[in-house]
Amino acid sequence: MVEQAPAFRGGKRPHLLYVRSTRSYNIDRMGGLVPQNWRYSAHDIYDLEDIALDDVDVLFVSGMHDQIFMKSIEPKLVAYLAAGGHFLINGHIILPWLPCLSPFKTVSPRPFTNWMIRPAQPGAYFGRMDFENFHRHEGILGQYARGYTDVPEGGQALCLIGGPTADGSIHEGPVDWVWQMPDGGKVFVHNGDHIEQFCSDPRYQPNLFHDILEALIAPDGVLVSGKDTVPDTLR
Amino acid sequence: MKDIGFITSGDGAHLQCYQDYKTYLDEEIYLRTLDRVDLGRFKAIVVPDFSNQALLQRHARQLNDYLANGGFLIVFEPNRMDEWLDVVTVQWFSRETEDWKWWMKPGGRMEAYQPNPGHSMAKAIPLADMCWHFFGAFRFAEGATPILNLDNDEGCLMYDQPVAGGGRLIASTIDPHTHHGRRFMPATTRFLNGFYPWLKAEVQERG
Repeated sequence: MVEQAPAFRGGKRPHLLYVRSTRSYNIDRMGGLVPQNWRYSAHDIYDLEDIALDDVDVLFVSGMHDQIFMKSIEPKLVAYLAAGGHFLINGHIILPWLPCLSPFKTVSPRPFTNWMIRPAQPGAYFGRMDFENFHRHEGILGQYARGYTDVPEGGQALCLIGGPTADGSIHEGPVDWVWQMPDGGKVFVHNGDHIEQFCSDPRYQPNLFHDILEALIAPDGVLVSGKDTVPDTLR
Repeated sequence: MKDIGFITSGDGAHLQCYQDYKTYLDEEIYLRTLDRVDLGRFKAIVVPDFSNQALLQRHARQLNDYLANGGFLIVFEPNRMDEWLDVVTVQWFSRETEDWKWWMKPGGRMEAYQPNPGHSMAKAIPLADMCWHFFGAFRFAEGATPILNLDNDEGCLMYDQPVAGGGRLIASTIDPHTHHGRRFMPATTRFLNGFYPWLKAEVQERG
């Protein structure tokens, strides 16, 4: 009898490792936000230097992470990605700590509509979102994000931010994007503070955080389209 | 001797602020390896808001020694300095901003004022540029000059305190770096645009 290979790096269930940083926005909430049919664990960011990542499917990096430290362990993080591990990265990248990352670019906050988030190729990541509202916090624009980073070659821009500038030119870019390392894992980048703050309460549907996680672990590459991509293993 | 050291936790907002104000700053000091740095080489040390509290605790002795030995330490919350500063007593208490969306309302204001308009920082930074929200408040510290107070002197949001041995502490519960560094809330940018030139002039004038 031939044993089936585990469906995920984490085994039968996908495993999310929450990388805790000081004052991470949802540091005590995250265990309730990750789907209950996932395996969940949390570690202080500096533990990444020593712990094995072989059984991790998604490394969740919160917005206030120490970029100097992440840069110092870049080879380990690249190896994790090359082996098929995925990243969900929040924050303003000033010191790129993966080869696919680049420095944050601020868009003009005026007109205020520049902070309206628009769909690019939202795929299953943002495909169920109401773009008029999902990114507002208590109705306020700008809490979601104020800029973007460039998508690496071959990546997919999911959502856009920006617009006209004072000199009349257009300055916009991908506030959320995903890229897959050839033969490796995916990197989802939210160029704001904390994606899980938005439309991600587990009591309500659609759930952005769950959709992003499920799209990340979907086996069919980056360009996932359609509205229902929950893998059969999770049904 | 260098003028100003800026302690970074490596967070994107801290890194951004150092880039933006490096004209006024002499060195970016990585908090995780603070023990490799002689803080005595700096006239002033800034601990920005939302620093890594566990690392501040770990390096508390060094920061306290700097202040006790005549250093000029500026600390922003939320860093719970009451838990790791022992050279002076800091009495922080929890107090939420009455309405964090006050700025959306006609005639709205944050419930604070400048009690000593003659203080050099109050001269450099108008009240409007000190107001967005805050993370708790302090009881009034003995011998300190309050710079920003809650209405009715319910507590203090920023003060300037001489410390025995020639040291000086500025303690604040407002968080300009994290918002400027994240490109949100223009008042925080205006605050830092006033704060760093003020600090540079202050350390150069007083030697």
